[in-house]
Amino acid sequence: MKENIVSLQSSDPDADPSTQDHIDLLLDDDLRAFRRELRRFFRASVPAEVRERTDRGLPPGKSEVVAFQKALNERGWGAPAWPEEYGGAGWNTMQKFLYNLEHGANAAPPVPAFGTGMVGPVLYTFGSQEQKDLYLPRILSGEDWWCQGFSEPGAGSDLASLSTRAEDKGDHFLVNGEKIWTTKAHYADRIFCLVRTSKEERKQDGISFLVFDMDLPGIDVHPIISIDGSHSLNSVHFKDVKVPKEGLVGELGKGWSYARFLLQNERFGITNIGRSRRQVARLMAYADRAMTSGASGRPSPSFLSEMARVDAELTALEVCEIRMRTQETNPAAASMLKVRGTEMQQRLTALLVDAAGHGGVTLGSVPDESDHAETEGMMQDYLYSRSASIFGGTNEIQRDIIARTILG
Amino acid sequence: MKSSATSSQERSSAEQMSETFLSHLAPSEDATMLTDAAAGFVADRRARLQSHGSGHDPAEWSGIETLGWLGARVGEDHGGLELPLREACVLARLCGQALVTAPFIGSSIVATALLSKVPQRALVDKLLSGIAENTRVVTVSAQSDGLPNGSDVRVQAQERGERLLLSGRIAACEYSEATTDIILGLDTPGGERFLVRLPVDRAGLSAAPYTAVDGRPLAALVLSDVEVEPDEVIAEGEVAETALESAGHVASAALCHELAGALEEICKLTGEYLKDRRQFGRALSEFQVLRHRVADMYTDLEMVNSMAELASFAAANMDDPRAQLLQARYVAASFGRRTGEQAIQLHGGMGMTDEMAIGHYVKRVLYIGSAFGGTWTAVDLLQAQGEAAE
Repeated sequence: MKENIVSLQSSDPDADPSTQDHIDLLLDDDLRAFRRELRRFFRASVPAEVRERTDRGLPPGKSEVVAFQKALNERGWGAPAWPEEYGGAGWNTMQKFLYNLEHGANAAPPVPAFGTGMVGPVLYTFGSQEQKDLYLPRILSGEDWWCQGFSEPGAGSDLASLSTRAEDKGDHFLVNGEKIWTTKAHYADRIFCLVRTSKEERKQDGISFLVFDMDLPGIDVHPIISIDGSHSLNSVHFKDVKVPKEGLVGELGKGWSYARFLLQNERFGITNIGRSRRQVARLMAYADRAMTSGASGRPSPSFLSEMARVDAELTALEVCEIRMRTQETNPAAASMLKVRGTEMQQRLTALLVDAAGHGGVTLGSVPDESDHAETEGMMQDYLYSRSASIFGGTNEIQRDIIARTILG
Repeated sequence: MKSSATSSQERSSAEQMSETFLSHLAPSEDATMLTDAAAGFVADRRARLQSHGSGHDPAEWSGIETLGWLGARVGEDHGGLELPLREACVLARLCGQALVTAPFIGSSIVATALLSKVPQRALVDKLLSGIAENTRVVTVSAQSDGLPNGSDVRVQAQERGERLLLSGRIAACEYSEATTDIILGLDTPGGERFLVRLPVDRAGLSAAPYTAVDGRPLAALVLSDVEVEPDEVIAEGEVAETALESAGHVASAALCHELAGALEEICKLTGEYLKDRRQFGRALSEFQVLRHRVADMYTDLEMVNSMAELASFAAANMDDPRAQLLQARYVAASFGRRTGEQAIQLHGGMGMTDEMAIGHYVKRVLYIGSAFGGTWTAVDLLQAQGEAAE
């Protein structure tokens, strides 16, 4: 791993408890203590090299993520937002908010939401007792890696147009079709899928929610290399896959409503302000570097004024998230936060590329002999961050949802 | 002078004990009561706006008096309601929704904040009681980053015997026919701050009235050898500095809420207009590009509402709220302006007519942004703050 010019360790929570940042000033003593506990945990359980990869925006390997999920679970935080009876931490809204914040702010490896954030809540809300008993503990422990089979070549934003079929064959469903943009399908042990089980007048009807194993005969995973040069996305092909009947979640034909429930959960999760706050700190550390210096040898005034704006707008996003999570008055809250949270992430990766100056010419690995090794990963992170406004329902779909709550 | 710790200082530390940001955000019964009681007033103002525009309205001040707002922030010992800043900001928001042009915020919220932080001598007592009982309307003017219109206050003081003599000019000061007293924040030649009170009819003081972009009355003040009575120097040195700063913090918070109130109306009016107006055989609200613009406007409104809450919380509870207030001012002014621009655009040609309410609300947003020196000022001050912190 190359020397990272800005490898940030978040300030030591125990060093001086009287030092308070702008978030501490909004918290009472109990929440401040809780926040320090989170920071101690993240600092202790994330190895430095993982933190550095995360800072560079390079995707963590499977083993790193699984190890981290295991550490979380041992601490009782495998899926803190779940109800306590299924292994949740019994936290209030602000505690959950702080957990997400500190996860990102301490550069802990991003744990994909497919298990804990997406299929887990669907299973404990709509699944059978057998499904809960089988799947939930293995999600918590990190034993099972899940992937999401929603999008198809002919069904992107218009998800309800999906055509992957599941025919009822008595003791099993026979599944045929293709899913696409399936993140980390090549790591996955299991998949949750939207499939068409009948043809109805309304295309949202007749869709069912299936869960099954990725090693069933007839499943083929093809890599899709994305513009950042990485292999994260895949297409998944189903040819006469026999899915046991036990894989049906909830009622036949009700899959669309479960998917909407799931996406609503997902949008709240991808504001990612903790990482954005850390990115601001990384950028500020650049302010003293030659690459942002003007002819005067001082940090570029354009850069500094842009940072002051970003800082203020990120504060607005943080405060807005606290307000929306605790007050729950706006029906479009999750969509608004998704749009602004992802736009902020993209703005920051663009600023990092700008700050890298000529170092922005690189993609992928850079030899140590080049000074540009310092900024390795920045362009990759920028390019991958373009997906933030596309997945989880594009930001245009989010705007449709917001507008519907205002204009009908 | 410093020994006479004021009751409001104690009050603000009491607020600090009891209020967290979450309790600040939680809906309060008082806020609901204040809003409900003002519903008729706000509706009347809206109706008048449609017929008369945003100019002077004689019924406005009496309406505010009837609602009992004048003494909102004045201590109970001076006949006021002693409302917390949070509730005073509810009133400021209503002023934004009703496009109040009378100097209520300037006198009953900002000047009151300043007067509560200076030694409580007879003159100050009289001013505070007068604000509560509607015999005094007080305006504050000082060279200050924190106060609205806080630039171009160019007034020199010189001593002549026992008396101070003031000469100079002030470019803009909120000033109406009702204004009775001016409080000036000035510097001694040595750079020490001090505060003086002048009655508006003092010899040598003249006011040239004009109107701000949003219809509120302003005046340029010219002072030539204006005499200050010894008891009219109401604070000096650090006490004066602290009182001005505190008034600036309260002004920033109140004006962010006022802007948020106007912005909420801008968003609502635009949504209603798009639903009513038909082109190409269907309502404008059915066109996706327009729907997306409205989605962005309402999201900006949520950001501004959030920062307004942060501002009032910070002003009431934080030892040094400057960074929060500057960030709030930046977000309110910049998001407010772009949302206002969208609103005019979405109204099409109608957005350009002075007969529509929308332009008046946009002008309120523009006034507040400029009264604090525009968005660059906030950005520059934030940067200076960041450098000082290093």
